[in-house]
Amino acid sequence: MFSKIITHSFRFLNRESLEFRLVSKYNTRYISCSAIQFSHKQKEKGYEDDVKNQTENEITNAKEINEPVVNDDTSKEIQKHINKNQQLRIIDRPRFVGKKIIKSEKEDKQKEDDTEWYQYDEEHEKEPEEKSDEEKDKQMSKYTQDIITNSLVKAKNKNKEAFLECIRMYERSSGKKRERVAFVYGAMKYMKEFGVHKDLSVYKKLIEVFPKETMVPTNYFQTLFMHYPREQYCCISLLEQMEDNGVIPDPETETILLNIFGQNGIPLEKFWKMMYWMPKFRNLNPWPVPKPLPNDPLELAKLAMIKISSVDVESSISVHQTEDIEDSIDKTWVVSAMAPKQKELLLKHDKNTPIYVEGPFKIYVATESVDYFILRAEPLKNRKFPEMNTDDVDKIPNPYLDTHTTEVILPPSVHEQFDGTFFAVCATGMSTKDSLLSWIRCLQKDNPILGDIPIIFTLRNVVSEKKNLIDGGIKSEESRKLASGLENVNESVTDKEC
Amino acid sequence: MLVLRALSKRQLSNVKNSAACYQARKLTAQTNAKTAEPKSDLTKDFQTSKLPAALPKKPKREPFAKNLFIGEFDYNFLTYPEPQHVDRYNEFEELFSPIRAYLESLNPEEFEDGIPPHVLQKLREFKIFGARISEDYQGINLLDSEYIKVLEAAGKVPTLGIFLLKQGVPAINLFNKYGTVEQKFKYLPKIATGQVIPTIAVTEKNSGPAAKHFMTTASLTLDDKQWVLDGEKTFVANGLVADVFIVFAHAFQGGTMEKRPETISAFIVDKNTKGVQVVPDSETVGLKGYTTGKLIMKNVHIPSENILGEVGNGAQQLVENFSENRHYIGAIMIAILKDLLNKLTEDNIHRKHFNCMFYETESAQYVFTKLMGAIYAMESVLYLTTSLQDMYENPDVILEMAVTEKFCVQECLNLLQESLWLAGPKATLLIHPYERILRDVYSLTYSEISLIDTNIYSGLLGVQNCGKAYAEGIKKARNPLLFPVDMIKKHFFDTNHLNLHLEEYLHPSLQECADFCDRCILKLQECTQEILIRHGTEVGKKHMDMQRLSDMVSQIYAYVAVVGRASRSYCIGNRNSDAEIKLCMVLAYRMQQRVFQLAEDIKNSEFSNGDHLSRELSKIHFEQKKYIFENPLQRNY
Repeated sequence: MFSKIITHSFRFLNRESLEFRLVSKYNTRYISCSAIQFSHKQKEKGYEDDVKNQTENEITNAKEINEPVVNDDTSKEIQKHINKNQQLRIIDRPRFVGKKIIKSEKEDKQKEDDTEWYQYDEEHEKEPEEKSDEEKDKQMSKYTQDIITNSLVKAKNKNKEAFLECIRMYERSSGKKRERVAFVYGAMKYMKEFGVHKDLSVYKKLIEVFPKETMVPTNYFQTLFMHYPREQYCCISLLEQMEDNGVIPDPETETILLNIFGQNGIPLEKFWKMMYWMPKFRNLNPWPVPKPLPNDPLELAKLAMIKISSVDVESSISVHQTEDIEDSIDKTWVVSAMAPKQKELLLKHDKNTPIYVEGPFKIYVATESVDYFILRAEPLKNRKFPEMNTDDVDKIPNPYLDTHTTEVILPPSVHEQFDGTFFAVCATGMSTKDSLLSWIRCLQKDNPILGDIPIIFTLRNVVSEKKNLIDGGIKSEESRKLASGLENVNESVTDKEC
Repeated sequence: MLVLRALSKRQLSNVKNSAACYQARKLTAQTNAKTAEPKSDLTKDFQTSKLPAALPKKPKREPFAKNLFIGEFDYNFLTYPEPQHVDRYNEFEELFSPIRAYLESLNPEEFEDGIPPHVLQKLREFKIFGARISEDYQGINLLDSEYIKVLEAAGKVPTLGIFLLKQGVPAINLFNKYGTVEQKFKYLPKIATGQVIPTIAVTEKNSGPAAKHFMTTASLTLDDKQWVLDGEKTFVANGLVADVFIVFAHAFQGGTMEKRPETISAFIVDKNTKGVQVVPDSETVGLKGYTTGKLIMKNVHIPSENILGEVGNGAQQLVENFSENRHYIGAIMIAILKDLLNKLTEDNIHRKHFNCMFYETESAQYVFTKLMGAIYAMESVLYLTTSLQDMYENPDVILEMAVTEKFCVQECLNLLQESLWLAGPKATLLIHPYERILRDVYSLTYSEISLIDTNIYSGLLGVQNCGKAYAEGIKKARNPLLFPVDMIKKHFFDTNHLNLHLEEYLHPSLQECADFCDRCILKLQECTQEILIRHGTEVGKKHMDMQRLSDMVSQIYAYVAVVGRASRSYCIGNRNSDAEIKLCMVLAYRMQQRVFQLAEDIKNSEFSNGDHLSRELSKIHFEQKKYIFENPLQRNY
């Protein structure tokens, strides 16, 4: 327990090592930390006991006077507050007494405190939602729970408007000051469901649930010992969720946070770190995708093909409609990518060696996956690689004066890899065997040589089609081949059938 | 400063001594020449007006420019050559003066719609079409240095210049070298008398600088009596007026289009053969009147004896065509620049600038000097190269040719840009000739040659030579751990200095300039070695370094030509030769500075001089295929 507290306080202290040394010198760690910890327990308890008695003013007053005045131990007015507020009384007492009190009065609660501190740690380090969720729900008052259940869980239209309405409801309610942490945690959970998890404006609205100015530390020690830690942690995990969803805050967010936590708040620190890194990461993707991501599979397929074919800058994307192809069964689209270099390789390909249509493989465009297929040949055996000793400077070639080109062995292009030579890639609307046949026919228009090369379809489970075929029975030559392809049996589809 | 110092030091009393030395060296050269018997007069009866035979050629020498890369200097080249015997020189001048007078009287505007027939007729009378054809075939067999004079005179009208160049050089070279006697007798006399205009057809739609990936094919008929040609050629020079085409094509002897033996060959195709069609290319910006065309051949049957050379000779012929016909274009560039200089002088002489005359301002003086200097240097280089061709037996001057072309074209482009502001707003007006000059130069440079290829090619030639000479040393330097002793020796005992004592071969007034050369050649040698040590045989891919080397060697070569010419002029007392000395000093200083700067770039290596980063940036650019940077005011959040 003790060490936990110390490490916890260290985490925020070691920023300013001087302060840390100061604190440790006078051995105030234990008391201060326990005091804070205790006061929060009290606060929570107090909320449930007398909601109506405690106004916002009282709390702020208490805060304002909190430490500097209390330590003077002179004012009578403060004495009143002390009587009213257990929290202040504890801090007010001499240190050794404070220790005692905590131990005696709250002995049975100590274990609970332990776990809670522990949870705070966990919450901050990892799994902020999962572990604390149940705990949060328990702590949540019935009132807040009602708001969340009624407006979020049971909402019919799960959209931004409904979500904002929930926030508005909470803000209108009289007890809004009490359970803001619980409410924010609760609301955060449902953001994705409402499709607002990437919406900056909603996040800002959620942050604004916290009151302005109330939680701004007014003196050195408040800053040092993390003023309103629960709220700060809550806000941090909110910012964390923003970061996970790639939402970059704007300068207005900073103003809001400054108004709530002051410039020494940990959320501000988090905010500045986010603003340092996130814009730097934002444009690093070499294959930028439009935001929001298009839903149309054709558009996605185009993006995927652009991405995968970018290994060769010369490659171009073409979209074909299978309707234009005779004998095609599936009416769909085919996005095909091929580079001029690949055409050359195809021309040089030996006509007696088969080439394969393989797939489907997956490629991701942002969060969506697209199935694609490749046209591949086995790598050339005994391929010669250019051999040149770079030290033989008496044999520098001069290409301008060479009279022969065939003597030169060229280094392999990017399309000739160790696992094969790749001629083309495609994505089709249905990923069916027939659409792939149509693809080959489309390619054949520009590459007549495909007519002379045997092509083998080795596809992995295309479930829907397989079912159809089994149902319909094997009738024609064509469909027999389709079936064979699906069973992973290689069979050549020769010239005419293509 | 330097120039001033040199001027103040100059003592005219020295002239006599060194002039005497010079004369002595000349005399020995001439006595050498006299010992060899002049050519027999067998061909004299063929024609009445025949020039005296040229001097017999001297034995082959080591290449000059290539050897600069290994720090060897042939002093023979510092003496500006006189390629002809004085009799021949005088007679040629006599023959040439009416031609020059006629060519200078031509009005460029007449040539907008092609070469006017009366000009062609006049050229036929002057026998210019046979300039490079031997007397045996009714030509006048001019030396290269004489032919350049003709081209330069014609180059005042760039259209005519390029027309003559394309008519007189590439095709005739091929005929002279590879043609059989029958072919020569069939075609050359007709060409010499101007009845027929020959041209060569090389370029195709997708062919690169090496021009070997042809799609045009030629196959033998079954009876072996005819070749059948199929294909298309673009940018055929003089395409619309030419009557005989030399077409480069794959002679098919089995195999497929993709896998075939390399049998490029040249074929002679007459224009009126069935299946030949010439389509004009779209109009060019400049050089109005000079036409290029697209030659389309569909199932063209030509007799089997129309093959030029042997089957498979084509590649060699192309390489020769690529490497040996380069420098002629310099003559046209010189003519254009001279034209520009005269026009600018005319326009600026009465112009005022505040309270003095414009030509008195320093900025104008600087540009005029620069123009003069450029023309002077271009002339020196061009005539030096052609004279070498004329004087020596089978000379290895391909690097000199490339460097000459590069120097002339580059200087012309730079100077045009720098001097056109002197014309002021007139440069943009259609009634003034500047706009036409600008268009002509751009068409000439961009349609005919690729400066970058020339640069890389010439850089490579030098590096190859250096690689051969220093193979062992460079291998050691590249593997210091295998040869530690050599490395230590190199580091501690290698003294890099070069003292050529060029001043002994020059007029004393040029003593200051002579030192420049030592330092420049030393830099060139060091840089070449350094590049070789860094990149080994991969140097061919380091295009930027190749271009820098090419720049360096062209500056040095130009320097040698300029100094030699100025010294000779001053010694024999040509008009304005004292101005030549001054100009020579200016040029020498600038060229030295340029060489030093280039050497600095190379020494700094690709990681400092920006080559490496340029490669990376360009890669990113091509990945995205557009301008990649955001607007300067772009906000990211």
